[in-house]
Amino acid sequence: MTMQQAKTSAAPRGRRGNRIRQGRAFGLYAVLGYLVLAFVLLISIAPLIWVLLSSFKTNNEILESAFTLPKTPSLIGYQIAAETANIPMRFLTSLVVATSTTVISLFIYSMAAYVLARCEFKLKNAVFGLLICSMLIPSNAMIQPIYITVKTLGLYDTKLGLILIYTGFSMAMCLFLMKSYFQSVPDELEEAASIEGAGFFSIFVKIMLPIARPALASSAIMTFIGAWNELLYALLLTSREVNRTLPLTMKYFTSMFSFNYTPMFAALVMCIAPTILIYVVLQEQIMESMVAGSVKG
Amino acid sequence: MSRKRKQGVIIALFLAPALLMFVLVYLWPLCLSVVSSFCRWNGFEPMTFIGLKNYIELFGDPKFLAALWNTLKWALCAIFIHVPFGVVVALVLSKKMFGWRFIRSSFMVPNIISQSGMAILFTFVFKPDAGILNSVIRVFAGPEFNVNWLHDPKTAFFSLTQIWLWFAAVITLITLSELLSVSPELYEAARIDGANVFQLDWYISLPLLRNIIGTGIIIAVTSVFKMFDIIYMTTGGGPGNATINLAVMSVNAIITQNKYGFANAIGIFLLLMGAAVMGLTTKSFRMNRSSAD
Repeated sequence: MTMQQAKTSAAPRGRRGNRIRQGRAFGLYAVLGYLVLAFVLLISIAPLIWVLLSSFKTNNEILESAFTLPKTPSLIGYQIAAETANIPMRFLTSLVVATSTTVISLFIYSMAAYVLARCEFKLKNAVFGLLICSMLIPSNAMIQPIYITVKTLGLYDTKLGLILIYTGFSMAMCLFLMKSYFQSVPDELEEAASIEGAGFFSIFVKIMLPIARPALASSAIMTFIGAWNELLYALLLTSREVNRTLPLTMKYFTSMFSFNYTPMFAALVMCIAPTILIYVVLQEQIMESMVAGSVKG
Repeated sequence: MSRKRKQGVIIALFLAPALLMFVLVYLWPLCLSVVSSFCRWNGFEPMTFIGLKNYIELFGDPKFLAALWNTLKWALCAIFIHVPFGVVVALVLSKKMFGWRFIRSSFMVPNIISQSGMAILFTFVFKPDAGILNSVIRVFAGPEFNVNWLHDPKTAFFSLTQIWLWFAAVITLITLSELLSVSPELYEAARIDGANVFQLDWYISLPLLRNIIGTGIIIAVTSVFKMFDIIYMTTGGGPGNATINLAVMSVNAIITQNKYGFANAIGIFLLLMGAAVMGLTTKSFRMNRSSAD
């Protein structure tokens, strides 16, 4: 205990704003704290590592013991998985759907958010209130009417149908994030630009959009993740295999691979690895967006 | 005057796509939902008005009662397990102990990968023969230990509840960002008065976190209402009705039974529940949400 205490009280010196640690009870706090953190680490990472390791084992090795390392690591599982589940193509479908959703959302909601933040007109608050109502309507409360609407529009079993619905779902969050950002921009910028003869459109495109880049980035990230991961409507609004997104593909793993675990594990790794890689690169930005998006949206 | 009119046209043009989207994805489906919840409708024949029959059928349906009961239990788990867990992790992380950034990032990973991915991952973890959970337990309890976690009526409910413990990471994240914005002088002052680190958390941090915990509860409970992917991909609501919820029930009513009016009655019920939770939490935490302007 004294060792622990000595360690923790020595460690923070030289770091900013951490005088809290020097309290007498901190030794006990540190022990309990590290227990909590170790638990967090165990539950969030261990299952992933286990799946990754297992995907290189043979089926018998998997069934024999969960803890051994693969004896002769092989990529055969990945080969079978890629062929059976056609994961590269499903990946492409997901990419097309999520990217289109993000681009369209940014385009239409940045325009609406800009007008709602910077222009004076009748019914302004009514329109904003109406659009924000979309936040109160849970997406799974209207499963059937959306299904019928998409069918009526002739968009059933098309990527466009999914894009339309996902774009709708990102509405409240995008509007919140971008409107509050546009509101924080000082008026002088617009005035100066309009004195120099810039029109409404060029002010919006050349001045306001570049300034609002952080809000656009947060909206884009949240919209993309939402569309990339969505299952319920992908399940309801598509039927042919070409239009299956990755989350939907995973539903068929059990029937595709029956009890052949190796390719099943490999397929799962192939589905989630790209997301994790992107997260590792963009983690700070993604976490910031999640804070902004979940508090406001 | 013409300048003003021109401005009006531009404003209308800028708003039009968003409004169109609202009508297509929210307003029209909502109207359809409300109207058809009072009708018999299977999608092939026109709707026929049947009054409250869908709702009466709903309240008499044992599946519905089971779904409601499960949702209530999950909401309580969210409030009393997930949110406190998330807040505790945030409090510990805010001390910036060794490795805190890495652990914060790791905790978020399950929230970044899709819920269906998580569901499949945990069907592997919970598998009776090759799953890692049983393998770990067998080390301590002997090789005969065998529980089919997701398909045994006794364990299915809590196995599922455990899968979304990770969504506590969102609570951790928002709480942490709030904690890191608290001015250090506040803690400094309390520390000089002789408060230890437990007291700092209890008497200073927690009261400051009132609003964000309220927000966290809204997020956690509404995400319980929205829960679909994980249930559908693991147990499908079974065994029996052990893990069913309203969303799974309404998808089944649509896909397998074509009972559209009935499904929409479920939807309307979900909508009202969500609104009620939002109202209640906002009131009980006396929050004035900054986002409401």
